[in-house]
Amino acid sequence: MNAVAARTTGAFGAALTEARRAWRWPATLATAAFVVALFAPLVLSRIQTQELAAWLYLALAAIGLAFAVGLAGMPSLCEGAFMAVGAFTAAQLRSKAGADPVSATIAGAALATAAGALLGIAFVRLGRVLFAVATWLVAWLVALSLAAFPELSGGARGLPIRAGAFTETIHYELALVLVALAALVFFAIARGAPGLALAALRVRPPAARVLGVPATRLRLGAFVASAGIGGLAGALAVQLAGIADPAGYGPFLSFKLFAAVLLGGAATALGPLAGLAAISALFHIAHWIGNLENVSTTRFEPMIAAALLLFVLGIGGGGIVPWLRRFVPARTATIEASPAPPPRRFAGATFAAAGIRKSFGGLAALVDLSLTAEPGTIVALIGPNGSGKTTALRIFSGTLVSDGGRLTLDGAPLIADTTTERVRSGVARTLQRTAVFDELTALENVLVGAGLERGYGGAIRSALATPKERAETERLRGEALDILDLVGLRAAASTPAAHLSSSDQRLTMLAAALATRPRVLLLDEPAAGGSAEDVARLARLLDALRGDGLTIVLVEHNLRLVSAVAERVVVLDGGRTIADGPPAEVAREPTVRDAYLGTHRL
Amino acid sequence: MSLALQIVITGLAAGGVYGVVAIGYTLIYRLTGVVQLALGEFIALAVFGTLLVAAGTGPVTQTSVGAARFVLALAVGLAICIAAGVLTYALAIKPYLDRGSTIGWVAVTVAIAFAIRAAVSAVFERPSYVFPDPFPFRDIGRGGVVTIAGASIQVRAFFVIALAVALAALANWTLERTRVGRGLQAIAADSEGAQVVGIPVDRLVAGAFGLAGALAAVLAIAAAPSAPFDVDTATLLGVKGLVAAVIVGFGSPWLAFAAGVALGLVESTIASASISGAQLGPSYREVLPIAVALAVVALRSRREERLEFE
Amino acid sequence: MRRLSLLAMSCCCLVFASACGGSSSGSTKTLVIAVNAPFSKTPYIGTTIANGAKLAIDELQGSGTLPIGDKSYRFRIRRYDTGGSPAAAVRNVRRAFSDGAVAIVDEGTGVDASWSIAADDDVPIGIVYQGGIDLVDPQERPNVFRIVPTDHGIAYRLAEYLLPKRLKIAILHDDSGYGEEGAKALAAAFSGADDAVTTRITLPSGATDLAPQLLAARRSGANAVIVWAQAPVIAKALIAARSAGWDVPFYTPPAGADPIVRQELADHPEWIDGLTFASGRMTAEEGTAPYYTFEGKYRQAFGLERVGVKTRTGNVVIQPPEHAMYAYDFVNVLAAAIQAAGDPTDRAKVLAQMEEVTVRGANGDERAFNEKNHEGVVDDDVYFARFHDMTFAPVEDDPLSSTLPTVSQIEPD
Repeated sequence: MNAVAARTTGAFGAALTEARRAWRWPATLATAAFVVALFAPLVLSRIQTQELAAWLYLALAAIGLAFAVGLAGMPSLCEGAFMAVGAFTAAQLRSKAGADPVSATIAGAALATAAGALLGIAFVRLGRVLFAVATWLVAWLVALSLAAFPELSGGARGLPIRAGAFTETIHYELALVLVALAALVFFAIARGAPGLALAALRVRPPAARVLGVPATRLRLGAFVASAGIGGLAGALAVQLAGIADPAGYGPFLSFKLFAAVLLGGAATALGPLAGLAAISALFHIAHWIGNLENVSTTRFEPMIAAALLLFVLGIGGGGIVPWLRRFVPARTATIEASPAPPPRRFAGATFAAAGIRKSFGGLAALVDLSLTAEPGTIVALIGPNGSGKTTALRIFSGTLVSDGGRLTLDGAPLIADTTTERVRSGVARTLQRTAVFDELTALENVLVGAGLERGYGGAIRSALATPKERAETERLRGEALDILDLVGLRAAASTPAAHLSSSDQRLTMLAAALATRPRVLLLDEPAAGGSAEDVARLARLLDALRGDGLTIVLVEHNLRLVSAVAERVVVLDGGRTIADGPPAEVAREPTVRDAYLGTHRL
Repeated sequence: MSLALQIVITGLAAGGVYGVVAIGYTLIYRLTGVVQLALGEFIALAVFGTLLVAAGTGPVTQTSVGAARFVLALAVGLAICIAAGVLTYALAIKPYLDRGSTIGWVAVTVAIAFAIRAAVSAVFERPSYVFPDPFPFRDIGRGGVVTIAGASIQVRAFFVIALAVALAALANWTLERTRVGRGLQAIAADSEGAQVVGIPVDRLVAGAFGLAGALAAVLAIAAAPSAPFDVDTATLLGVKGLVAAVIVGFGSPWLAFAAGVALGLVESTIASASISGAQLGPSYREVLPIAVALAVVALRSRREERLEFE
Repeated sequence: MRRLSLLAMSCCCLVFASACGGSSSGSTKTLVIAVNAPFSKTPYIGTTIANGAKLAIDELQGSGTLPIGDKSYRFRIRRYDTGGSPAAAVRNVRRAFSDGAVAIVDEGTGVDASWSIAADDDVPIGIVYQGGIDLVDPQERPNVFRIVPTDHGIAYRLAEYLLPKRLKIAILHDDSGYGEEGAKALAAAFSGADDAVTTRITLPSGATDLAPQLLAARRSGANAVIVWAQAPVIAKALIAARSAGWDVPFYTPPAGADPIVRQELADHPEWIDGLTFASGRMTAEEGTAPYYTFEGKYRQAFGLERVGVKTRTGNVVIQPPEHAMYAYDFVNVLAAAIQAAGDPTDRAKVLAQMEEVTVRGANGDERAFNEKNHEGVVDDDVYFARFHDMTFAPVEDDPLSSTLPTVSQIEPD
């Protein structure tokens, strides 16, 4: 018991110190604003409290949307629909079934979450374009359904809700607390491992997938979160308003929330609030001007919101909060000196491919490819352009499914279906084109790969920052630094990857792949575009890795590197294996020379 | 029998319009990978632009507009639509395409859609408008309605069906036979390669943006006099065209057209075939097709092979 | 940095300030009478209601102030647009309070939800358009009054008028509050005559094309149609029926007289001929003089209400300011109640006085409420008028209607 208490207080102490260290004046401003807002109902009239509470519920839904749009990069155009589901469920329960506010709210949020799960499972695999179209159609589906089924929505008359136990002040405080909570959770997740994985997924999906980031699961989680929060906001807002009116839940609501998130800065916790405040401010100004002329400006609201969004998108900069952030001194990340590096242990595994075939349309890309790579060896796969080398790697790593043949790891068949599972089995690959996560630092790039170990499922743990999670984060940071040390980029740990040289970027990709603790490493042209010095550095690195016991399969054009490090070379031409043996032997084969004839490399 | 005929003719007429709109979506998607979510609103621009010149914003008290004035009005309306399409592509969509930002152009097209809606509603304030009829259809039958096999059918419906097929055929012919069309096909297949070969990609794509809207608008204007028309009508037209295009996965123009026609028939059937006292039919009319389209998209996403673009 | 936070806070204050509002300046207090109506959706209704209220206020205070008790007050009419949405109507009622409203002249949308908000502050709501019987309940909703014929009255008069004709009637109604209440009233009125009603169909307000519903009505064997819906829906239903070649007579509540219906059918004036609507009588039992006086005053203040269509002979059609009368009457009752209470800020007293005062209405009839009855118009004071050539005239085959004069609807030269 005492030990637990000691550990908890220790954790609190650690959390406080870290918070103090990371504190900046925007945090002070935010906290002050929150405290002031808490006491606002004392000075505001009932009507003003009510309007602010309604606004805060909308802001809650906007933050919910930011989970999907900002964290996961999914263009979700149906947040208004989720609000509608929550709202009309709660309204029906309150007005027809006489339910109490709490049950009605919970039911509304639950139904919206279920809807989000259903739609998420259906659409999460779609590319961004089709996802946007699908959610747009969902928004229209809900709007048209509300209009077409008056039993559900009350028709043009709406569903009146008798005022319950919640007064305006209660709604206001509840809304304020929920918004603060949502923003904090967003912030915590964004800074934690799930946020890193989501950022990777958002910036460069193929690179993230190749590092084993479970794209489907993460995106689904973000989408379901956005649905649940939207439903909660909708259920509460409708009870505050006192009437559920289908006209208010059309596609414009979804667009307003979407615009608010983009305006304010999608990937920030307070962005949606800022964006929504900007939109509301403009609406108020228009209403005030309209009052002078005795003209109603409600009709113009869509145009105002649209114009504002077009303007802000046009001038660029990412939104209001990122623009404001420029005034905040950048956080200088302190990289502590790590203790003496533990001996690096990469355990290799025997990787064998037998009879791999693949055709695209009628074109055969690979015909009967077979190779075996032992632990502690490097096998090189070479051949002219279009000979099927990258296709082979993609099949080995699970990105592509072969038409026939077997893959085994240490004799056991590799039947992992998704890239994530393949990476978890120990087969990691780097991409042919340089694909680092530009906005992340080199260290964070490597951490994306390291996150595989804890499965990225700890969103809640990450949000709460439990001691266990912190310890794990520290350990993984240390290991990531080690790997950077190994590839020679330790000094560049806190440099954004976009600022690194091209060959350093490729080394970062390699480091990220190593962070997934692979047993088999598949490298796709790691030396491309590098100077002779870079190639030599790479050769030394590969040597070290081989010495540790890792199995490496290397696709390369740079034959000097190949002859320097590879024990065996497999030559492909037009999908067929034309040579297989030690590099010196293969170089002498006439068929190999013929295959390379016409290219300027040899 | 009469009911069936009524359903079929009404369905074909409505479906023809949906089909041509679907062609518009498909063309733009295959050229640029962009789904032009504001297409319905561009059609509204054309229709209301034509209405503005032909009859002004007041109630239409003349049964017919002079042919010359109508042609002028049509030209103005189409010009507005084409200009809007071209400008949208050049200023709003292309920057995001070049950057590879999907969220960017999605946000922009939806914003433009709402902006146009609000602008048109501001000028045309009444809940709905009656479109003047340039053709003397009302002279045929009883006020433009003929009775065939017991079914009362608007003569205009036949005209709309014929025009729809003609426009779809024209779109297809342009793509297959003309130089511009082949250029567009080349861009759709490989835009970088097309640029290398010397095809003015930007100009052609901008033109396609403009014309896709205009094509659909011509048909919408032909169909407009048959029922009260407002901005919502045009927006819904856009949504239904999108549904048709999505169901066939943005396939070839003829496929999209067929999907649109099928959608019109299905809608008409659902709406009219529930006359046993149950009210359910008309309610499901617009809702069911969208639900089906979403189901198709979901199922298709599971079957497709995972392709990584590197 | 500090400048930025100051800027941020002042922006917040601006937003707060604009959310505030309300006005009180100097020694003369301004009191607001809110007009809550669908200005953007059915402009005719909104504008005439607002104009009627304004006419009453202008008459009472001239261009100055109104002395009440020992103080002076200036009354102002403020418009709030509902756009037909009940949620907007509720929001407007809330906003009206923060603007200092002492009473609300309401079209009727959303009263189900907004009455309790007004009741908390003893603010009277005067419904001047919708006649749904559930909207007004002197016991439950002591602050809701109405001066306009009730649906109950209109429905019973319709039954009284139509049943002897032995027609087979299809009853169509839209899904708005107006339509739903009307449907209920019609169900009650026609409850004894089920074989006269062939079908009841709900028309979705948002639908662009009502052909399927009209087809269903036709196939039910009806040879007459009652459409109880808002004006745009009535227009769409009529167009759908006539363009399919179905020429049966249409009967509507007062919404049929709305200019929108004629504007929508301007292209086919022959489709309007024969449309019959029920409405409260414009002229009083004692004669037409009071109405024409009111009409003159209205025209002088606001000009002619042009429908926007012309007759076959090319005359411009104008609309009599019918609904303005009810708003005018309500404001007069309100003013009388405030005078009797002696202090407009003592809301409870004003509300109590609403049930005590009596006022002569614009068309000559007496308007008064009491604790059992908050309806200002007698139930069966309903007549029928039929359209011909874009203008309407009372029908001949109804005892009450045949005694009424035809009000001129042609613009004088």
